[in-house]
Amino acid sequence: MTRTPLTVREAAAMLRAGELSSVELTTAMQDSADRLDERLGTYLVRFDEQALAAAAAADAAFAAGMDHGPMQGIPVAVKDILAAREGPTTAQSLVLDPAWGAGKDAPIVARLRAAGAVITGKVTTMEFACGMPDPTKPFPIPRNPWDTGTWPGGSSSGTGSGIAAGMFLAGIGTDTGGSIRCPAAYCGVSGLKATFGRVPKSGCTPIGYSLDHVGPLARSSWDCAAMLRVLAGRHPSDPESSPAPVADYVAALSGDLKGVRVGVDRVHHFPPQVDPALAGVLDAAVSALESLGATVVEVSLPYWDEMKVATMLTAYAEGLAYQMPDLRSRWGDFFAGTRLFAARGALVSGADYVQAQRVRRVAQGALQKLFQDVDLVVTPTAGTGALRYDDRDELASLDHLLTTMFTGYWNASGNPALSVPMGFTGDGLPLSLQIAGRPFDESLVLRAGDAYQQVTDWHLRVPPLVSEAAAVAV
Amino acid sequence: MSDAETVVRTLLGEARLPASDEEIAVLAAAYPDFKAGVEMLYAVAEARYESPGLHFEVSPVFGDWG
Repeated sequence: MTRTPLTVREAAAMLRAGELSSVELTTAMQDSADRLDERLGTYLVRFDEQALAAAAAADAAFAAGMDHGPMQGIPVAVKDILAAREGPTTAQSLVLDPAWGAGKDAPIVARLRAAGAVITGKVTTMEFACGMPDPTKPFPIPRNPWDTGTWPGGSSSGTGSGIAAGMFLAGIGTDTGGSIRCPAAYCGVSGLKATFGRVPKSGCTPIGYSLDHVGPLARSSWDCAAMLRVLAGRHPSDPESSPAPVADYVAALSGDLKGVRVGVDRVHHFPPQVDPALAGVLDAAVSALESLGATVVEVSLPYWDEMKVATMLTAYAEGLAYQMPDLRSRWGDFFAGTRLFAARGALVSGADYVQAQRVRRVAQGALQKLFQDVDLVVTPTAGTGALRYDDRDELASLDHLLTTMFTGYWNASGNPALSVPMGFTGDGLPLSLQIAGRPFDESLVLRAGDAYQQVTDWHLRVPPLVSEAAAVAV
Repeated sequence: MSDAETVVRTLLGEARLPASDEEIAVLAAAYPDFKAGVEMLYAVAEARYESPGLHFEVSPVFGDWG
C-alpha cells in the first residue's frame, strides 16, 4: 500500500483494484491509533484482534468474488452508547449496567457487519451522550486533532476525532440536538442526521426518545451516502423506525445542483458570538452551490427560537425519565454536566412537555410550506470553531454551545440535515455548512453535499498533528 | 433565598434528586431564562388548538434487538 486512503470511496476502489487489502488498511488505521489515541482520547476500547479477523474475512470474500458493497473491508468505529458484541457498552459512565446489551449488536451494527465492515472499537462520547467531559471521572478526555486544547465536539466526540485523525474511515454517531453534526463541524469531517426514524435506534441508550437519531460520520458526503444505504430501513425492534423505502443514496449523487432551489437562513445564524470568518466562508460556500446550478434565495426558518426551546425542553424531560432511578441513587457517579442536564428535566412540567410537542407540530407545518418554495435550506452548522477547554465550565459551556450550535432545530422538526466542512476560522479551526432537506429526502441532501465536495477540498484537509505524526512514523 | 432558588430547590426535592447547593445555585441562575423559554412556547398562538406531535399506538408490535 503506497498511501492510506482518506475516504471510504477511495478505499473501496483501492480494495477492488487490489492496491491494498482490508488487513493492510485496518493495520494502518490501528497504527494511527497507536500514534495518536493517547493524545486525542478517541477510543474507549479497541477491538484490534477482532477487527483484523473481520478484515481478513473481507479480503477472503473479495477473493471469492463476493462483494457486499462499498462498506466491505472498511474500518468503522461505534460510539459507545450503541451495543457491539465484542464488549460491554459503557455510555462513558460509571452508571450503565454492564449487562445492558452485553454480547449483542445494535441493529445498525449488525447491518454494518453484514455489509462486511470492520468494527474497530468503541469510541468516546459525552456521558450518556449529554454530559460534558468530566476530568474527575475515569474516562479519556476527548481532544480535537486540529488543536488538542479544544473539544472535538459532542456527543459523538471520538467518532469525529477518529475520522479526522485517520484511525478509521467512518463511524457511527447519534444526534439528539446536534451530536453528529457538532463533532463533524468541529473536526472538519462530514456527518448526517437523517430523517427521524430513517435509521433504527434500538440497541442505543437514549436521551430523547422523540429526538434521537443514529447516523454516519465520515470524511465525505459520498461516504455518508454509502453508510446510510446500509444503516437505513425499518427494524421490528424500533417501532419508530420508518418503513419508507431506502433509496440508493450513492446512485443519486449526480455531481450537480441544476434546478435545485436553495434557501439560505442568515437571520438566525449570526449572533454576536460568531467567528469573524464565518460570514465570508458561508458566502463562498453559497457561491459554490450556485456554480453547481443551484438557485439561491434568502429565507427565515419559522419558529426558530421556539424550536430551540422545544428541543431542549423535550430532551431534558425525556432524558430525566430514563435516568431518574440512577440519578436518585447514584447522583455523584454521574458526570457533573449530566447531572445538570438531567436535573433541568425536573423543571419541566407535564403540560410544558406537551406544549413543546404542539409547537413542534406547528413548526413542522410551517416548514412544509417553506419547502414548497425551496428544496434545501443551508446554514452554518456552528457559529464558531471548536470550543476551548480552558474557557469552559460545565453548564456555561452547554449554554454557550447552544448559542452557537445551530443544529437542534432539525431535531425538533425531524428533517434530515448534513454537515460538511466549508473552511476555517482565523485560528485554523474547521467551519461547517449545514444542508437540510425535506423528510426522507436524504438523496437530495447528500447530493448537495457531494456536489459541493466535488468543487471544494475542505473535507480532505488533514490536521497538522496527524500529518506530523505520520511523517515521524515513516 | 430567591424565588428562582426556591422553585428549583423545591422541584428537585420533589423529584428526589440530591443536587448540591452549588448545583442548585447554577440551575437557579439559569431558571429565569429557562422559564421565559417555556412561556414563549405557550405564546405560540398557532399552537392553541394544535395536537401534539405524539402518537399512541393501540396495538404495538414488540420486537427484540441483538
